[in-house]
Formats: sequence, C-alpha cells, structure tokens
Amino acid sequence: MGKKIIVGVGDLAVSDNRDAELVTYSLGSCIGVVIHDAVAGVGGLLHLMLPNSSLNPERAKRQPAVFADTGLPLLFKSAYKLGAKKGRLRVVVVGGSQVMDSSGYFNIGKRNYTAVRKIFWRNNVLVDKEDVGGNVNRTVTLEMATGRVWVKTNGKETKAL
Amino acid sequence: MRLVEKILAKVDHLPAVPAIVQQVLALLSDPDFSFQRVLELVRLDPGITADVLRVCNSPYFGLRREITSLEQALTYLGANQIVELVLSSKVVSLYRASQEGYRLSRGELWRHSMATALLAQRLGQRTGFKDGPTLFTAALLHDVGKLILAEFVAEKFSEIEKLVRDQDFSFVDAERKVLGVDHALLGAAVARKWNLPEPIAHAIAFHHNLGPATKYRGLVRLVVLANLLVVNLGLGSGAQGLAAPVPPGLLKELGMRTRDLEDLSLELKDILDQAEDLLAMAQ
Repeated sequence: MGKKIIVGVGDLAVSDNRDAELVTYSLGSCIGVVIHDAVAGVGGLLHLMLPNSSLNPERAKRQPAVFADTGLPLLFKSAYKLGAKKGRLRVVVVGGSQVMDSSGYFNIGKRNYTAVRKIFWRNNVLVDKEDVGGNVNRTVTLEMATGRVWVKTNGKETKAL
Repeated sequence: MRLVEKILAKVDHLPAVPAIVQQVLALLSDPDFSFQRVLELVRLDPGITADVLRVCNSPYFGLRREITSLEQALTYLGANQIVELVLSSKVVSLYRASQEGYRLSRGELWRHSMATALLAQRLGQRTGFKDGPTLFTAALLHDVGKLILAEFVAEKFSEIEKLVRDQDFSFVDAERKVLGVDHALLGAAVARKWNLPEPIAHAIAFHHNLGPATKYRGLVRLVVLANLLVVNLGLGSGAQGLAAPVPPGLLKELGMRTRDLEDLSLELKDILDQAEDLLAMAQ
C-alpha cells in the first residue's frame, strides 16, 4: 500500500497521487464525502461535522470543512484544481448515523445527510453509492489507484462500495 | 459459579488504584484542602511531575511561556487543572491495553475517556458546575468497567450483537441482558473497590441511564451528555458503535437544544485538534 493520508474530523484532503489512500476514521453523525475522477487520477475526501455554517460563520471561515455548505464546495473546487472534471466524478456518501434518541434532539446525523443531499441536488451532483444512517460508526478509505471505496463498520465488517 | 459472579469476582483482581489517586481525591473533599499537600504528595512520584509538565506545555492550554515547575503550572492553570492532570497521569496505566471484546485497540478507550473528561470539564464551566475535579474524574473513569467486561463481551459477542442489530437494544442493555451486568454497573463496583468518592461511583453507574440517579444528578447528567457527544462523533466507540441510549428528558433538564449540541461538537473538535498530548497518553 502506498501513502496513507488521514483526514481528521472537520477536515478534507485531495490528492492526485495514485499510490495514496485517503482515510477518515470514526464517522458517527459526521458524513464522509468521497469523490474520485479515474481519468484524471484525482480523489478527495471530506469529513464534515455539521449541516450549516450559519451556526458559526467565524469558524466556517477558519475551518470550512466543518460544515456541509462550506466544505462541499471546497472539496469539489480543490479536486478541480488538480484536474478533476465534474462529469467524471464518482461520488460516495458515508456516515450520518445517530445515537438512540427518541426525542429527536440528537439528530445531527440525519440533518447532515439532508444538507448534503440538498446541496448535491441544487448542483446536479449524482451520488453513486451511499452507506448512511443507523447506530454504527464507520471508517472510510479511498484507494486512489482503483477509486475503490472501503467502509469498515463498528471496527469490523469491511465492504467495498 | 454463575457468569455474573465470575465477572464480579474479577473486580477484586484488578490492579489497585495508585494510592496517590485516593489521597488526592480525599484531599479534594476536605474543606481545608490545601494545594501544598497535593504538591507534597506529587513530589514523591517523579513520573507525575514529568507528565504534568509535558502536558501543561501542550497547545491545548495555550500558554505563552514554557512551564518548568509545578508551582508555575499552578499559577498559570490553577489548582483544579493540576489535580486533574495528576490523576490522569496515574490512571492512564490501567488503560494501556486493548479491549478486543469492544474492538478497541490500545489507547482508543483512553482517547474516548479523555475526550469525554475534557468535554465534561467545558460543560461544567458552561453550566456553572462547582466541583470540577470530581466531574473530570468521573468522566475520565466512566467506562472503567470495560477494562474488565471486555473479555466477557468477547465471549458472548454474537449474542450481544444480535440483540443490538435485530431487536434495537442499546449495547449497554444488551450487555446486561446477556452477561447479567453491564460495563456501567461494573465500573461503579470498581470505583467502590478503589474507595473513590461516592459521587464518582454514582456517575459511572448511571452514565447511560440517568433515570434512577437521584443523588448527584447535576454531576451525572453532565457525564451522560459529554459521553453521548463523544460517542455521537464515533470516537472510540468500537463495537458499541452509536448504539447508546439518550436518557429521555436529558436536554430539557439541562436547558439545552440541538444548537447547543452543535456548539459543543465544535468544542469537541477543538479538543481533538489541540489536546493530542492528553488523548494519546495511553498509546
């Protein structure tokens, strides 16, 4: 395996290194958005935490990857800079799960997912695969050489998306 | 011997908590508490001083100058903070193992526990909770029962997992159903065995189940919320995933809303970004 690029919580990375792997650990209510352009050999991974930057605009300026509405544009633009083309991008969405809350206050995961879908819909981005919701945590890996996306659930079951 | 008896018997075989932890905690509950006494105790253990000074100088505390003595650390960070670092430095040795049953590799449970403790500390400041060190220690030790229960969870894993997956059990409820005891109740037994103050044992016992906690409720609910926020972020939750119950009425009781949870999640990000020295102590 080549170079492992670890994406922290509320952060993102893009790469054009075909030997690299982009990984983000422990997606709970957070959402991991993976994009990959096989022709250009460019990929990116965003680990967003919260749906909307209006919560804290100052934070969004400093750490745009924290929010869906500021993180997603930055992820795509950063990949375009490396030569990715929108029409060729494969998009995978992972995470957005919840703790067990019947009162609905802890619905950050669901709201993150809704925010991501809304932004994609407005920008004509089609999601190729997704693994979202439930009461699990997920680790997601993008294999740059193949564009394959691996999801590990609750520290065990690993599957390709 | 029944399984639950076998599990409880393990509590007696856990290493004793270092004497200094009990001594420091006992001092804290003494109305004539003097930090000088803590310093005297700490000086007997050179390892603690080294740990405390290293961590004091981490970016998390944002001090502009290098701290080179415990007295300086006291001046800049205050007595409570130093006491909390002293306790962390002693307790961490118990967490330097993996807990395969929970699919937690070495250091992960500590990372989860320390993140919970640091977040609880901030929650305490936000809500005006007075006894910072008790809150910090209770949050740091909330999952101490997992140190023992891990091997039994491993044995019965498929049964536990089945309840969680097919019958909507929370992980902690599934533990109790299958093993006869869960990590929260077991953790409280550990805390009592170690003679830790009762509020701490109480908070450990009820960190998933606020309902029955009538005494020390102000303490317990902060530990419950801090843990949930850390679990919500998937941090060190291992096999349990996010299958942790939110006690009904928790947020209402705290006067909080979803927006507060989002603000606190940002605070948790700051902890993750800045407190690596503390979070990685068990690695």
